[in-house]
Amino acid sequence: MQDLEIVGQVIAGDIANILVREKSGKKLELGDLLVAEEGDSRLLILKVYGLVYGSQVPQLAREMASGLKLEGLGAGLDYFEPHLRNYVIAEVKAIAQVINNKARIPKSLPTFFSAIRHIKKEDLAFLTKPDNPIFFGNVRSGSKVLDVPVFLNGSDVFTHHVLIPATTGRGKSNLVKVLLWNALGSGGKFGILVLDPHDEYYGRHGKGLKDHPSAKQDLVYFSTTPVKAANTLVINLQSIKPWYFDGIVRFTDAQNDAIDQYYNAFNDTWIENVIRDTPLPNGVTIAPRTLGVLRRKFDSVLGIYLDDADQLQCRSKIFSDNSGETTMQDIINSLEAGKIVVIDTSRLLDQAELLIGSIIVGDIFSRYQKYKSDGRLNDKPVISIVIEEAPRVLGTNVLESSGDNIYNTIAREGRKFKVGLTAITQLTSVIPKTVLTNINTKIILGNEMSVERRAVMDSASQDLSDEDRTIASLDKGEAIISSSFVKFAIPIQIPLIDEIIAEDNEPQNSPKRRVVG
Amino acid sequence: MLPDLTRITADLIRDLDEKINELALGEPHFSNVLRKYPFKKENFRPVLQERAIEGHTTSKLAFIDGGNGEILGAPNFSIQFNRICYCLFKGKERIQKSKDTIDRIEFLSCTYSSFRNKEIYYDTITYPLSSTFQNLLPSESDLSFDSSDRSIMDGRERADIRRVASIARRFAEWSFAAYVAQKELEKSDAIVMDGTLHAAFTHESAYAKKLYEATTEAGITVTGVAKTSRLFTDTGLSLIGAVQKFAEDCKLAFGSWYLPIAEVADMDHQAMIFVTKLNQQAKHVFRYEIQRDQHNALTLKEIDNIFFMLAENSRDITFAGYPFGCAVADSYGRVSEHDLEYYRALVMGEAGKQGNWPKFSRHIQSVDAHEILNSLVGL
Amino acid sequence: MVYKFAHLSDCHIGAWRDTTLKEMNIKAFEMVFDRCMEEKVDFIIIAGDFFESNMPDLESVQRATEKLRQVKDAGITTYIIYGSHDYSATKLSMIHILESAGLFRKVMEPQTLDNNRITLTVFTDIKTGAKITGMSGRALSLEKTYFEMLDHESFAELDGFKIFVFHSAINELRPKDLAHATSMPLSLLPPGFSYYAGGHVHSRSENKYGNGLIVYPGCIFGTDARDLEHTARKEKRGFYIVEFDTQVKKLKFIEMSPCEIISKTIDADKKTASQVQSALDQYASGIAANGKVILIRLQGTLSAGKPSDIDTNPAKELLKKNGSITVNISKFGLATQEVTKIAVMGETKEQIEEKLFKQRLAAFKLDPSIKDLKVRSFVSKLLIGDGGTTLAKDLVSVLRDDQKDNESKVIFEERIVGDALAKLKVDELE
Repeated sequence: MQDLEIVGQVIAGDIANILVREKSGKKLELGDLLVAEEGDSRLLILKVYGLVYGSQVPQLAREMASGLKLEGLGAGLDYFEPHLRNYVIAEVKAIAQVINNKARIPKSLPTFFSAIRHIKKEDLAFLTKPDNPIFFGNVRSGSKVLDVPVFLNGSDVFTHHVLIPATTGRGKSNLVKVLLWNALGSGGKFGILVLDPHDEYYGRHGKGLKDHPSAKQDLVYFSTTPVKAANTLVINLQSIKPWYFDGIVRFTDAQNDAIDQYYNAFNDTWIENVIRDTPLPNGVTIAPRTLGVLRRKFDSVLGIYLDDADQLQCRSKIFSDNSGETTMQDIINSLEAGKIVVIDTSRLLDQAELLIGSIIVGDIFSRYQKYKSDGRLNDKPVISIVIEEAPRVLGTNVLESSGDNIYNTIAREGRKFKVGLTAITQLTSVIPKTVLTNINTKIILGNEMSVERRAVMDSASQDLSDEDRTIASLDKGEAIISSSFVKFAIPIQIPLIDEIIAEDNEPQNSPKRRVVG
Repeated sequence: MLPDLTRITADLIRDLDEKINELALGEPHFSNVLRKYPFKKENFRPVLQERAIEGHTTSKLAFIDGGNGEILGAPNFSIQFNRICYCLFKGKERIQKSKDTIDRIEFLSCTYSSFRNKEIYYDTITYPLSSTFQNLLPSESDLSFDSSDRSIMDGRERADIRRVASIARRFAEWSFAAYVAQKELEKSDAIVMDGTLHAAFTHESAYAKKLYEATTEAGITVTGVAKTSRLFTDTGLSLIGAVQKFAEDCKLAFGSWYLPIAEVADMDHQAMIFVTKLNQQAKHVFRYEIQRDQHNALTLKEIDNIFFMLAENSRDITFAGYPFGCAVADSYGRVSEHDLEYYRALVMGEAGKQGNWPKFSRHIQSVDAHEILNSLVGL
Repeated sequence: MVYKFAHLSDCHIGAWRDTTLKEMNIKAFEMVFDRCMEEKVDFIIIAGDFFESNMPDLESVQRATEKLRQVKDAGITTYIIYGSHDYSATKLSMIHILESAGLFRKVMEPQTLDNNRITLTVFTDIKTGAKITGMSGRALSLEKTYFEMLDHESFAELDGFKIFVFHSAINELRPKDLAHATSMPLSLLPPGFSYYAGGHVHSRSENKYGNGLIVYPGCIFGTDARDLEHTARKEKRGFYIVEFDTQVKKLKFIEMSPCEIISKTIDADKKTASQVQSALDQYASGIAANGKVILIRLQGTLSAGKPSDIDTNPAKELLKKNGSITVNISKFGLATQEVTKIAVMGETKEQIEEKLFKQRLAAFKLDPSIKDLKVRSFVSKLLIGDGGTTLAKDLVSVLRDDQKDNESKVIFEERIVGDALAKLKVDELE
């Protein structure tokens, strides 16, 4: 190690709290990655998670000295050798041991009095590009960004679920955009369904996924108010099966019974027939009150009603009895073809949004279950479902009051069928621990709420118990990836989507097209 | 009935106030001096700024200090760990030592009593921790003392062995100072010893003399800073306190100053004694000595320059008016209980191995009784 | 003043090898045009695929020309766009010839605005003042790219009654059975027209789009067994007559049917080949076939025997004898349990074979010189994806069979070739 590189020296501590005296002027930062070289191509990677002052001067003397200065009596007096006598002690922890370019969990302390330096690109040579790579960002040491890209195997990551916990303003939306942007460039390896309640990912009013070079082939956008070349989000009532309401709309036993009767009698047209009050065959009758309540529920959730001319109408125009027959199949086929499907749900009521999600997710899941039993699953791309405000479907209270739903099922069993969730939330703490532990990869952004940080840390794949302050201090775009697919919780800097878009869209002259016919 | 403590303490303070009569500061009291300087306002000399000193040279100050501590001790022997260090400053800036200069010497010493010629003798053997120190340690013949040697006696009592055991370190400081002077200093630089220049012990003045000779030849000045002083005025006041009072009374126009007190020209103490206040903010004044012959050979400007350098080094905000180099050398030289534990373990381990621990421990127990008592009362 | 026009599409004149069906198809077209003259429509819009190919057989062309001429003489203008079948980028097309002869007015005339944008010339019908423009269909839905380039703004200022003619399936509007066909999103249609005259989709539908209507009349007769099955299942065939002034006043569907069609699916699931054989024969003997087109589909996985074990000829003969004008019996939906068993067998050579087949098939590309869409779709259905692997394995298992002891060489060859052809389902292509 060259003298110039040295930023500190190990002076004390224990395995969970190694103390490093900072070399004066080196300004170590919370979250900095440091290295203690152990010889023979062995090194320990350390992370700073605390900084405290150290001084050779007793407290009283320091107070007096400060008083002299503050009160203007200290003219001509100085701190002699201030860098020697007053300094910073960094509390660090070994997060990885690297031996011959292979990382493992550290089990020893760095050599006493080891010189410490900042991490370098070469130290992280073990971070190689896996199969099915998805780029998350560059390794970050404190607030310094290294020229070391972090790729994870998208198939592993997506099937084992992803959690993005963050509060507003910490770069959540940028992260999701970047993630989707990078998945778009993967050549159809990942089918990703994005339920977008803020209509922020496609780029309707500015830059967005639509600007990706592969967008034309691999991005599908559905909206109730489509822009040119986008698809209209219209779903035929016949696509809706009774069980799609599970966990989203609550029905009484009597209502469920009525639904079963209508579904058995009319199959795909059951909703229309409930609304039209068609009598059931074989003399079966349903209490008019029950049907009345059902009709009102369909009106409030689906916006479906009969107009004066006895025509079925839908307030939101999402549900229809004569169009959108293939919308569900289109969406699912696109996913299965490894495309990214963004669904603008910004004009939908909460329950309608969840219902649509439930329909698509339920369909794709059962399709993949079938592929598995047919032995064809290996040929299919991995599916991930991006769900915002995940507690709406995965929250403890929802699961307790409305019972299991498809999202919960996928959280539990999805990985067997190559279907995973990408759950975004401000409130990790209201998601049950059983669900959280099933979510393997967590891309942790800054969070000022300690309860939320605690919930994330407690369910992470790495021991993050010392990262509390670090997580609290993560700035916009700064994140920590914790996953069983990484050797240690990697701090990363997520690039800005606008910069990526500019980079990937270098102007080029497209060949002139001849239009004939 | 409970004693009336308020009254008792009030009486005490009133009496003390009466006895310490600052109306008559008196003059410095010396039993044996060449020349005494009476307290006179015009004797105060300001510590000048460098630009005020004609022909000023920025010179180096080498601070020497050491410490020792007992590893094992009994009335009849004392094993000590000794350390002597130095540091080098030019004004407030620390100067890196040359590569091949030893920055410290460390050695173990064993002082023991023996009976010969019907007298109790104290003899000391030194064990340098590195062979490079060997030449800097005092010769063992110089470390053999008759227990009735006045220089080691405590009044009429036979000297405590620990006092004798520290002499080796004291001698080595002189040798080390000479070594540092030779290695690191040049003309018009100065050495600052910890304490006075009084070579009190038998054989000590020979070591001091070697230092004086070597430095005089090289144009280097030997000085010493005493943190404490036992000097008095002839009215029974503490000299340091009296000078402080006098300085205040004089309402001096300058914040830092030095005041000559006496010129001493004993065999074992050859010094020009000053009291100095090295910074306006200083709470303390110090006794400062310059080797007498060297002092007498210096011009006033050169003396001004020495005080200037010392004052420059005393501007540290945590201890204004005290030379920072002294503090650094002290912290380097200080022997900690931690150091002692380490060597104690080694020594005891070795004694156990050689099978003579029971013998040593019998003697140690006689001192230990005190510690046992302390532990009984929970101290 | 209220005018009216006829909107039809997908005549596919020249389709069908079966001469009876070919005749029925042309007859349907003639009935439509005759009706248009009867109704005295002001103009006719044909939304693509007037002909089955760019250069159909001359006999069919002659019949079509005759009708077009009659219509023209009656003072009715026919507006047309190309469909996915009757345009050729490299060769001359009959539409082009007939347009040159003044029998049509083609309404797609693209203009380039810049590198990425085009607009379309808007034609005004002199008699009615209706404004008409359109986008032709192209094979493999290439027109989608043109739609993406189409500048919607350029039509914003148009007033009056505006018709947009197109030949494309729309995602949001296509029926379930077209879920796998290429189509485009609704949002690519330029907004603001009063009437969108659609073609390409063979079933009928009417939908609102903004203040206008998107109307597909569907094909007039149909071009394959599936179309006819739909007809048999009460899908109405015919065309629209639209009355309008500044907007649509009345939309009327005119049903046309040159003959009756009967369609039947025989469930073969979990039945043996001989059970299916007797079910087929029994059905054939039980229906009144006189003057009807009869379509029979055998569907399901046989529990024993192979599709080739079922002989469809006796049923065909019987139905023809009973007066059916044409009979089609399809075995396309048949599978056999025996084949599937091979696919799931152990780890040995079959698995290796399967892997090899998969690898080879992955590299397979359809010869671009094959232009016929039906052939293309047949071949790709047969070879691309899992179907190809199954076919290859079936063929191998057929060809692997040894000559039996008492079998002459000629009989053996006949048997092997017959079985192999059955696996290739060549009879389905007819």
